Amino acid sequence: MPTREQFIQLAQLHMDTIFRLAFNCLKSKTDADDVTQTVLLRLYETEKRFENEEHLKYWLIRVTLNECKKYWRSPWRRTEDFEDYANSLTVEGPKHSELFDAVMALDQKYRVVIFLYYYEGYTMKEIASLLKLPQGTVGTRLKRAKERLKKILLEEASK
Amino acid sequence: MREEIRKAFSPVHASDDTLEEVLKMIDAKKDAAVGRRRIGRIVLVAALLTVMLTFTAFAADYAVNHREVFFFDTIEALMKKQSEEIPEEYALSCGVPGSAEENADLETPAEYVDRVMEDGLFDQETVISYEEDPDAAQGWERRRVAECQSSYYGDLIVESLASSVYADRVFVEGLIDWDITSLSPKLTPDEGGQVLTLFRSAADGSLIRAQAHMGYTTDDGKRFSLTYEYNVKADYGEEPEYILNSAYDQSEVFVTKDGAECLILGYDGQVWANAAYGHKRVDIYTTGCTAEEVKTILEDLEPMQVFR
Repeated sequence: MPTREQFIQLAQLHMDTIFRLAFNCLKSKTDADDVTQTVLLRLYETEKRFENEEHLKYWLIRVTLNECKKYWRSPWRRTEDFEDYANSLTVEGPKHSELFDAVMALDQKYRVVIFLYYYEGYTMKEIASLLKLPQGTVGTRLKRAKERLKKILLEEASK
Repeated sequence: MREEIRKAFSPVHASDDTLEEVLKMIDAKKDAAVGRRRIGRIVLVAALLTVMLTFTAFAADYAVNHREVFFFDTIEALMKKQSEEIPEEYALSCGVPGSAEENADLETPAEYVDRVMEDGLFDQETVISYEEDPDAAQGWERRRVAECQSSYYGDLIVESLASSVYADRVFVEGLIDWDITSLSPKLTPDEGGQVLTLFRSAADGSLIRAQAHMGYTTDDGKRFSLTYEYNVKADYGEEPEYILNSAYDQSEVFVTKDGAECLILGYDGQVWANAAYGHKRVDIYTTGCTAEEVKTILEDLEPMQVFR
């Protein structure tokens, strides 16, 4: 278990990563906040030793994905307006706002792969390990995600 | 593309008070004498902790199979009741159902079964064996065995069995032999959508928990799932339900001819029904039946095993 000071440093370093991934999975700021808190609590309580920063981050991502699954099991979901949260974000420009909306319009299984590949920079092999999927499946999902993103963005541009 | 995605998502941040909330939980855990329970932030329909002292009397207290169910017309009344019942360090909570559109993303029963077979149900499961045999004499089509160290349950052996047999009968020796063929022909079992998971103590083989999840499709292609859960560490009779009537189109307790008491909730074309007794619980979720149709199904279902 880390000291309180060590934990605070690690939490500040990683909590946005946890939140962004949870948000991608659940499409809900409130649920993503809950998951972030749960994962950070797990970080504080874990007896696990990490070889390096990358190992720790990998563990955090695995735990976050597992926590998100618990929400998927339950039909009980909080009602909240995703649009309100999306509109509250200060994005660099309209192009990035459209891209954000387009990614969030994808099915959850595609959003997660897009996020892990493009935002976090994981390879397909690493993503396959994180998601416990065959590498081929990850490749297929990434390909389909990009095709759908392209379609959504083209449709948006033609409006 | 990478740079563009990063710019699109860089404004997405955890809430400013996330770390503060977590540190509070850590301190509360250190001070609390009771067992651990996960605490989450709650979003309520109305104003939060400034509870009005006047409130609308709630409709009924109902003891459902020894489980208390409270119905409230206002969030303030619900919160006041909860704050009387729940220790201070725990957050108040109120379940609010998602819309049918939001829940359309829920994994299908077959996807759930695949996930159970790939990842298991607990963190830190280590797979011991995995077999597929459509003609297995034992009746299962897929079987996964894993070991797991749970701080709550102790060391476990987790056995998951996927089999279409469970769509008609749920059988665990010494626990349950439940004929659910009354569900057909109203419902069509989902292919690959039935699984039974047994959690046994690694030390002495005793059954700690059992969970059966059966997926079906209604005549118009909508979903229907039935879950049976037995958990020696849970007393569902001790877990009260706090129901905000205004969050639902329907909220009531229905009693079958055999005396099974079921909490039925409906919202936006979805129906949830559950009954709990002691260590056992049965849940239904459907988007393809009205509450009245669910009641008919419950009436025809063999007297629910929660009473045995």
